[in-house]
Amino acid sequence: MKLVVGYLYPELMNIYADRGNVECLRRRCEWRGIGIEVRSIRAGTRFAADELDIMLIGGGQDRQQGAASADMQEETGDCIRRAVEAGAVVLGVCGGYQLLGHRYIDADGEILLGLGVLDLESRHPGLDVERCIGNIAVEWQGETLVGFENHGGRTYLGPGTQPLGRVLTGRGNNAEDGLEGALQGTVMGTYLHGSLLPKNPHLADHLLRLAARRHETEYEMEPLDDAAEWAAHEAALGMMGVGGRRGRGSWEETV
Amino acid sequence: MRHAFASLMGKLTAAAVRGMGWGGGTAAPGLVAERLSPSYLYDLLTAVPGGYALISGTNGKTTSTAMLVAMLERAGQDVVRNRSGSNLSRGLLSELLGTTDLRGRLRTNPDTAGVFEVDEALLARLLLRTRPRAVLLTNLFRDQLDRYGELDTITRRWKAAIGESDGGFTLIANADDPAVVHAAASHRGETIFFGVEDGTAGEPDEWADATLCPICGTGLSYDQVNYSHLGHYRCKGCGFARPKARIVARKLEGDGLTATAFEVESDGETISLRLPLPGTYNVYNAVGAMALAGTMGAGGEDMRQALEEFAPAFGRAEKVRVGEWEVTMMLIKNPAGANEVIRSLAELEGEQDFLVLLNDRVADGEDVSWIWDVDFSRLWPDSLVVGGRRAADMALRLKYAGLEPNGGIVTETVLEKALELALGTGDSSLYVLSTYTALLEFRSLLARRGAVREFWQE
Repeated sequence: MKLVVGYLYPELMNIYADRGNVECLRRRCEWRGIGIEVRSIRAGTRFAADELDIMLIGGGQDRQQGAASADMQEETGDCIRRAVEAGAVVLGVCGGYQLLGHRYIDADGEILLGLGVLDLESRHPGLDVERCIGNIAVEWQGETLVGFENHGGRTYLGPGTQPLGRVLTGRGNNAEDGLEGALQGTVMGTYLHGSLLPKNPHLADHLLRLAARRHETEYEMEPLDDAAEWAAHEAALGMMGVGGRRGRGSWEETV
Repeated sequence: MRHAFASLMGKLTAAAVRGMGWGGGTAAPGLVAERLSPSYLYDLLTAVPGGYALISGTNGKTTSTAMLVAMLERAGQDVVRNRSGSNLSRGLLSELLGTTDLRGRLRTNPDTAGVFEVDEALLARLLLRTRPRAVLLTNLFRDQLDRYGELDTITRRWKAAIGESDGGFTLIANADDPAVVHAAASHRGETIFFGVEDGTAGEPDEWADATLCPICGTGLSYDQVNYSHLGHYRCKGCGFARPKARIVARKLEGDGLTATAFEVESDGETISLRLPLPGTYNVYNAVGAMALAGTMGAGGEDMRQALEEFAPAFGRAEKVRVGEWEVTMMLIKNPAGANEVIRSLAELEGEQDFLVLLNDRVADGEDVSWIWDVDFSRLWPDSLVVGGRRAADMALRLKYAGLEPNGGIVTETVLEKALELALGTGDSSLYVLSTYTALLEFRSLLARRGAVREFWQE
């Protein structure tokens, strides 16, 4: 038994080093002796609904994002949607987050269709409006998440989805409502890259725990020596002038 | 009159900055002069008697520029250049201010030529407002997305600026880079392509930057990949393909970090040379600079000699002695460049001690996520110290790369202590991998120890 991670559109959605998220999941399983396999799901790939436990999709350039959007309306998109219905865990970052929603409307008003597995829509307000660029900290389940955001598009959540967290410093979904990311069942999206998971090991393990539940043999997520992970997390918080991460103890008790 | 005043104020700024020991005055004087007289830079460039060349691209600007200058000087040409790699308009202007008289006019020998490396955004501006003699486009990679934006955006800007310029310059372009070739296609004047014919067959890595056809968006097919998205490509959708290169490097043979031997063929003539720099990326720098030097009057023998005696530019496998230690400094600033540096280091034999410095100032890129697209797992450090403002991020990256040096990965944000720790381990050679501003700080530290001169004094 092992966990299988699908890295969606690695040849297209690869601009913000979201590969670090794949590397993070892989190492954290290896260190615990949990089997893990990473599969590249390129445009045009077909796979069975129960084949992947976790799917990751990163940010891309406009043109590449267009190519991914087009492919999502074909067979690969159907495979991804069926895997979500079968309970696969999904993390989308930046452009990948936008494409988990219904649609992305770019600066010229062109519509890129997404996967529709998150009830949300993203719109680019125009090239004369400032991009959301900078370090960002978010409160998530009483704890902090840290990362870097760089997006022109603004994301607005529909009733079917809830925000991942609340912005402590930075812009977040749309620089208006103080919300960041989205959560719907086992599907999660966020603007945080950096890479996201290595500096936020609690989120990485949360994804692994959710994925492990799909298997009858429960995987134990043994604690790891995360000193380096939390040092990077704390350093990022310090840089942003946000105090130490909150309520870590209480969160661990509830999981 | 306005230029004279701007020149005077710029010179005073330079004197003040150097006098106060704040630095080399490679930016502030130009900034002051440009504010006072916005068209001053354009007028000074136009006044360079022998015309001038512009060098731009993501990677290789500083090295290509230094190579070109070495070749031209060997050919007996007087050259004015931006020495410090300060490649924004303020940097060019700061440099040119040093050669103006009291009325703000350029004071050079009658046949002096200009050689200037320029930032990708400044290139587009200068193409529209001035008339260079030649332009070299090295490559386009993803670099500091928070500052420059996406690769496609820069490609589009270059293409538009080249098309809207008067086209009266020779364009030297890297045939192996589809983004560069696409931008170069709008040139109305002469274009000379250069390239490398030495790659391995196969597909670019998944994290390569520009592997879609810039015209129709189909995935490019490669017969040869040299590194990242540079190679021999062809689009099955629309027929876009690598143009034939007139100046080609072949038979590359690396010798660790010391040298790369190769042959260059141009118009039926072949030159064999041994470049004292590592990596395919430096062969690209050399061939591009040779193509440009050829259009500016340097002969094959001048080129060969200048390149064989070439001293590395700032932080490009630059070696200095610190006591018993030989310290090799390697600038890393984006995934494509850093992966090539790592590739050359991975071939080294013997004990290897590393100091890795990561800063996140504007000139480094405030977003440090790019380090996760660098394949550090190819390194085998015996000892490893990590420093800089984002040392914790780098330490984490190296942990996930699976590096397990003796004594673990040591994090020390205070540079002086980091250097002491790094020199306290191992025996005789230290490799320093560093982003731009951290390397400036590191070199200042070495200068205080008398090991190097400040970079602007070179």
